[in-house]
Amino acid sequence: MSERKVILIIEDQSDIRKLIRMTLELGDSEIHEAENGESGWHMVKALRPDLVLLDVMMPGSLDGYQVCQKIRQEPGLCNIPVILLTARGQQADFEMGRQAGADAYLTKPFSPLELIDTVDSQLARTVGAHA
Amino acid sequence: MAANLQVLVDSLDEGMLIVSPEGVVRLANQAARRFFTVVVGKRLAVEELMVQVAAAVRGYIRLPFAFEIAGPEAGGERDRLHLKLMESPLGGGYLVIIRNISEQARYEHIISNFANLMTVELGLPMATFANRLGRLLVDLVPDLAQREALGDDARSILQQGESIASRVTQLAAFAQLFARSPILASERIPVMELVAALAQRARPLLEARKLKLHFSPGMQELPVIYGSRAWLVEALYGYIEYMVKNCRLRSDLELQIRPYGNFISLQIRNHGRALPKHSASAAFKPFTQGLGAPGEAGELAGLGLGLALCKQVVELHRGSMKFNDEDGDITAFVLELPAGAPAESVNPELGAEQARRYAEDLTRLMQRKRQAKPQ
Repeated sequence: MSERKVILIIEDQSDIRKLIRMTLELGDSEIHEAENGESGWHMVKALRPDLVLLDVMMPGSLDGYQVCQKIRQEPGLCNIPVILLTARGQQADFEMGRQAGADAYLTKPFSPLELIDTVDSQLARTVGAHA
Repeated sequence: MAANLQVLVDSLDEGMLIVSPEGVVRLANQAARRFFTVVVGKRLAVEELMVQVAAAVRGYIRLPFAFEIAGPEAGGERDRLHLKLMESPLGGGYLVIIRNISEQARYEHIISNFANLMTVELGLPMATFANRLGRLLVDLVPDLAQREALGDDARSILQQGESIASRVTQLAAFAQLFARSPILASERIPVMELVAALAQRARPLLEARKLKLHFSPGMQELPVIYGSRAWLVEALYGYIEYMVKNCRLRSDLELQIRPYGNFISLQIRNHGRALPKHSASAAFKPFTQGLGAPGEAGELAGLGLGLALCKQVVELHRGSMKFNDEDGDITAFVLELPAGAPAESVNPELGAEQARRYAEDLTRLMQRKRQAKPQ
């Protein structure tokens, strides 16, 4: 039997967090939420999730790119897959996400099918890497 | 239709319609009524839109579907309208979002023309005029002692000429900046990049006055700011310019940056050499500062926004400005800017489209889930 995956959603818009939670709870995942970059970063350290869904533009002292960079710089956390969520979707934003160390990018509005497929493929990649 | 829903949709700048598959209007906001003649409960008489609704009903087009049509005739002209057709998240039918792209293009064109007019017809000739005025005086009265002995009238005319040239050049530079960059933008600006751009902007002024800008970033990690890079640099430069030109004793400037909570504090001080506080009240009137150091060839010199406009730019970035004073003298300007993106940056069109995509695909996802379940 496969272990329940822990997924952390870091997103300031509560509606989007609810939609993501609702979608991911269709699978057998344990979902946690943070509403800004700082609390998200603390939760990443405390939970050590299997995957992080991370909004790019958030109010507060850490935006999505900065949280992603912190995850990549922290030994023990640096291999956690990070999927960035953005409403901008311009080439420069993808490039900035790549430089910050993100594994995948979802542009809002995204479909739940796209979300599930991206999450599944990132989780499968880490399972493959650890096998 | 609930009255509060109507109030909500009327608050949108873009036109919004909900129509049935037969094209009967179920909901229209005020902005949509400016574009079309709309009667709720009647079929919408905009054939180009009705054709696309019919195509959507038959599955000929994939939603959301964006297209352009000509708007109603006004003053002999017809604006171009950008329409986005999508499934309605409210009670079936179709949601249509309408934006007047001619209006937007016209506005940008007017601003651009205005900036070019100010620069080419006024700013650059006036800068040249100010230079020539100085040279003319030397040519006419080569002897320094004689020049100093000129009468009050001659001196006053020269000062007025310089002053008018300065104001016009400032206005032209302001127009250029306005055309180049919107004040309300959502550029991602790492604070260190802002400081670097500010240092570059202030270098000619500081070098001309043989001053330095010392920067102490502190030990803490600095956040990013979201806004207009060009306008924030110009606003911060305004404070530096004011410090340089008004301090009692010329001395190097210091820029201190400290993050605290969800804000970042930027303090510009003059190494303890205070500014007379009474001069600040005049500076809070727009365009009260003089010209900065001359720019590159063909460029207009300092913008001289004046502290009033600097303050407004900071406030439009959801920040604030105050000054510290001791014994009636200003010792530092302290600006506070919120870190990160604005909390209210929710796009209603994006929200509606996100809801529609979820409504459409969640059903498919549930079907896929059911099919995947072992029997």
